[in-house]
Amino acid sequence: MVLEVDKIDVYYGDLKALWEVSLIVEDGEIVVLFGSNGAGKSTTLRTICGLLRPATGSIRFKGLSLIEQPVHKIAELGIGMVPEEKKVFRGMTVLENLELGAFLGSARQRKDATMNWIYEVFPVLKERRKQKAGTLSGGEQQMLLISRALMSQPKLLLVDELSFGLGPLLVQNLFRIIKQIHESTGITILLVEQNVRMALELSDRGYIIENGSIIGEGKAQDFLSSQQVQDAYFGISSEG
Amino acid sequence: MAGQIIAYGIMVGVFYGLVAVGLALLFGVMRYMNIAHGSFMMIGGYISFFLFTLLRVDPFISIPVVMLAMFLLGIAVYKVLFSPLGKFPEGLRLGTSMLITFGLILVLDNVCALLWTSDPKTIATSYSGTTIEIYGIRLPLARLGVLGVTFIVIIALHLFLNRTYFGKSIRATAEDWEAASLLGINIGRTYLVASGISIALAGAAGTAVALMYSINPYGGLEWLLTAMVVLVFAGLGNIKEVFMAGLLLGIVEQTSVFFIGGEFRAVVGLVIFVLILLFRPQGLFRQ
Amino acid sequence: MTEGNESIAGRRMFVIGGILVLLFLLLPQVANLGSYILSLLFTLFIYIVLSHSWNLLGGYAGQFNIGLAAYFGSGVLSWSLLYFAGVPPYLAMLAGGLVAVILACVIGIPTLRLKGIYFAIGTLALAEALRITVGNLFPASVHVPPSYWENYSILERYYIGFALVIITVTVVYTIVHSKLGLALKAIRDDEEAAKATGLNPAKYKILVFFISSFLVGLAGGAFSYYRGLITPVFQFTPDWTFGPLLAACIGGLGTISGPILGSIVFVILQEVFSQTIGKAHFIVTGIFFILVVLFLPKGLVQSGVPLRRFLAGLIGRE
Repeated sequence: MVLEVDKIDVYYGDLKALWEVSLIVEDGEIVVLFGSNGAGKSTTLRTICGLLRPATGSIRFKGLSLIEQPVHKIAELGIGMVPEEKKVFRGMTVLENLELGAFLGSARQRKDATMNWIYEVFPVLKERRKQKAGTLSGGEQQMLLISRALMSQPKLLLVDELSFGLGPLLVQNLFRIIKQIHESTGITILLVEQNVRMALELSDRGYIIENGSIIGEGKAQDFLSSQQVQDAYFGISSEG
Repeated sequence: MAGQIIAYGIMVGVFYGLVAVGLALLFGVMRYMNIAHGSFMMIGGYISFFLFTLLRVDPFISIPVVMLAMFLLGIAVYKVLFSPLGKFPEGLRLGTSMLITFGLILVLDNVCALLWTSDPKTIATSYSGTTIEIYGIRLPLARLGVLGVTFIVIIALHLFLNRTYFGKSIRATAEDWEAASLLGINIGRTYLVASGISIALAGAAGTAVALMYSINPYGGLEWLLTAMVVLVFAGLGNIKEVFMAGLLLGIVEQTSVFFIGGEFRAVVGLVIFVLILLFRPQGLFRQ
Repeated sequence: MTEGNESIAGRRMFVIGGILVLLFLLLPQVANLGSYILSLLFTLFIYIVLSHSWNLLGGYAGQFNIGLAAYFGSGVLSWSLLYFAGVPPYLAMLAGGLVAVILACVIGIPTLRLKGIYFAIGTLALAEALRITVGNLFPASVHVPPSYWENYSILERYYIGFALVIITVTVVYTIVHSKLGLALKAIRDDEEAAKATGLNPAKYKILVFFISSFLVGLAGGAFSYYRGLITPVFQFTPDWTFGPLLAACIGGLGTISGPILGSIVFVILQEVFSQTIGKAHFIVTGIFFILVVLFLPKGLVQSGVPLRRFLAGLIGRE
C-alpha cells in the first residue's frame, strides 16, 4: 500500500479533532474521504501532509514514517497537496506559480515538459500564464492549484475540497479532468469532498468520517447504491 | 531653488528606500518587525568606518564586505532569536518579535557604546565635501555615489526575487508559507536567508550613513523610525513600493526644510507618519 | 484561589507593605544613611512611580505607551521653568503633573485611536518629535543659582519620592480593585468584546492615560527638584521610557509588586554598571528582557499577566 494511516489522534490545542482515524490507500487507487462539515476531513489531510502532527498513531508512506518529517520533506517524498481555500500565490503570475510547483530537484529538470502537459489539460492556464494568479476566477484558481501540485509529479495526490465555492458544471468538468489525469498517469489520489456523489463516481473506495472518527468504509459502488448514504450525503451542494 | 529641493529630495528619498527595504523584506517574508534594524545599520557603519580608518578602504568598496559580514550576523540572529520565535503561536509572533528586538536594541547599542564610546563617527573621504554642479543644482558627490549604489541594490534585488528560483520561493513564502512548504520549499532555510539579506541591506545602508551623516551607538532608533515611516507610507508588507515611498518622504522632507529649517526635518516626517497611521494605515500605495 | 486563601494572601501583602512603609519612613530618622544611599533610594522611588504609571496603562489596560519620556520630560521642564520663575516647589510639581496631562490631551488622545502596535509606534514617534523640538527650543542647561544648593536637603527629596510611591501604589491599587479596573481588564483581554458589552473603551483609556501621565509628570517635577541642574532634552530621551517599561515587564505586568521588584533590579544594575562607559546596565537588562520574553513571560514575580496576553493585543487582533 502507498499510504497507511493508523489510529491517529489529532488535537487543535486542547480540542480533540480526530479519534483513532485509520485509512489505507493502495497504489493507483482513488479513495474519497467524506462526511459532514467539520467532521475532520481536512484535518486528516493536513495531518498527512505534515501541517498538523498527530498526538498518537502513525502515518506511513511507502513504508516510511511521516510523522517526524517536516512539511517540505513530506512533499519531497512525493506527496502533493491541493489545499482548500484559494491558496494560489496571488501576487505571482500563473507561470511563476507553476514553476514553483516544480521547485524540487528532479521535477525542476522536467519542468518544461510537465508544463506543456498541464497546458494541454488546462488550456486556459496557458492563455493566462503571464497574468497574476489573483486575477483568475475561482475555477481557474482551482485549476492552477491542481496543476501546481501536479508539477512536482507526486506519487500521491491529496485533494482538499475541490468543489468548494464552485458551480456544478465547473465541478463536473474538474472531476472529469481528474479522471483523465488518473487514467493517463496512474497517480494515486486521496480526496476529501463535500460533493459526495461526484466524488464516489470518480473513486474506487471510500471512507466516511463523522465527529473525528471513521464510521464506515467500503467500495465506492456500494456507497453509491446505499440508500443511507444517499439520504445522508447526496444533495449536499458545495457551500458558498 | 525648486530644482535643488527636488534633486536633493530624490537623493535623500531613494536612500530612505534603501534604509527601509531590509526591514520591509523581513516583515514581508516572516511577519517579524525587527526594531533593532537601526542598530544593525549602526553596526554596518562601524564596520565600514574601521575598514576606512584602519585599512584605508573606501566605503563604496567596503560595502560588499560589510554586506557579507552583516549577512552572517543576520543568520546568527536568526538562529539565536528568530528561530525560537517560531515556537510561539502564530498570532503572537509579531508582537514577540518586537519585544525581543527591542531588548536587542539595548544590547547592541550599549555594546557598541562600550566598545567605541558614544562619540559620533563619520567617514571623511577625499570626496566627502565635493559637490558637482549641473544646471545650477549642487549635487554632493558622496550622495550621488550612494544613489548609484541604491540603484544597483534595487536591480540586484529585483533580479534575485524575480529571476531566480530561490528568490521566487522567498516571494512565495512571503505570500503563503503553508502553500510554499507543501511544494517542498524549506521554510526555515528561506527565513534564514531572508534574515541574512535583511541585515546585510541594513549594513549597506549603515555604511552610507557613516559616509553621508554620522554614526553613534544610539543613532539606530532615529533611522528605525525613518524606516518605519517609509514602510507605513508604502503599506506594510510591500517591498517594491518602498523606494517610491522613500522618494516621497525625501521630497516632502526637503520641501519642509525649505520652509521651517533643518532642525525640524525629522519632526515633519514623524508627524506625517502619525497622521498616516491615523487616517490611512494601509499606506499610500495600493498593493 | 479560594476566598480564604485570597484574603490571607491579601492580608499578608498588607502587613508586609505596612512594615516596609514604616521601615522606609523611619530608617532615615534612626540611621545616618548618607546622601549616596538616599539619592539611590530616591532614584528607585522615581523608577517605581514611572514603572507603575506605565504599568497602569500598559499592564492593566493593555496599551503600550512607549512615549512615556515625553510626559516625564514635560514634568521636569515645566517644574524647572516655574520654580526658577518663583513658584514654590511643591506647587510647581503639581503643575508639572498638570502640564503632562495637557500634553496627554494634545498628543496622547489622538494616538489612542490607534490600535496595538500602531499605538505603540505612534506614541514613540510623537515622543521623539517632541524631544527634537525641545532640543531645538531649549538647547542649554537650566541656570541654577548657588543658593539652591545651599538650602538643599536630600532627606526632603527622599520623603517626597517616597510620598509619590505611596500615592502611586495607592492609586494603582484603588483603580485595580474598582469597577474601572474591571473595565480595563476587559479592554486588555479583548477590546472588541468589551465594546460589544456596552463598554466605552475610549473613555476608560483616556481616563487611565490622564492618571498615568499625571503621575509621570509629578515624578518629573520631583526629579527636577532633586536634580536642580538639568539639560531639558535629556529628560525626553527614550531611556526614560525603556527603563520603566523593562522594569514593569521583567517584574511582572499587571501586578502591584512586579514594577517594584523590576525597578529594584533595574536600579541596582544601573548602579553596578555606573562606573563603566555608556549605559552598560542596559546590556544586562536587555538580555534579561529577551530571556523573560522567551522563557519567563510572567515576569520575575511569576504571577504577572503573561506577556503573551498583550502580544495578541499588540497586533490588534488581525
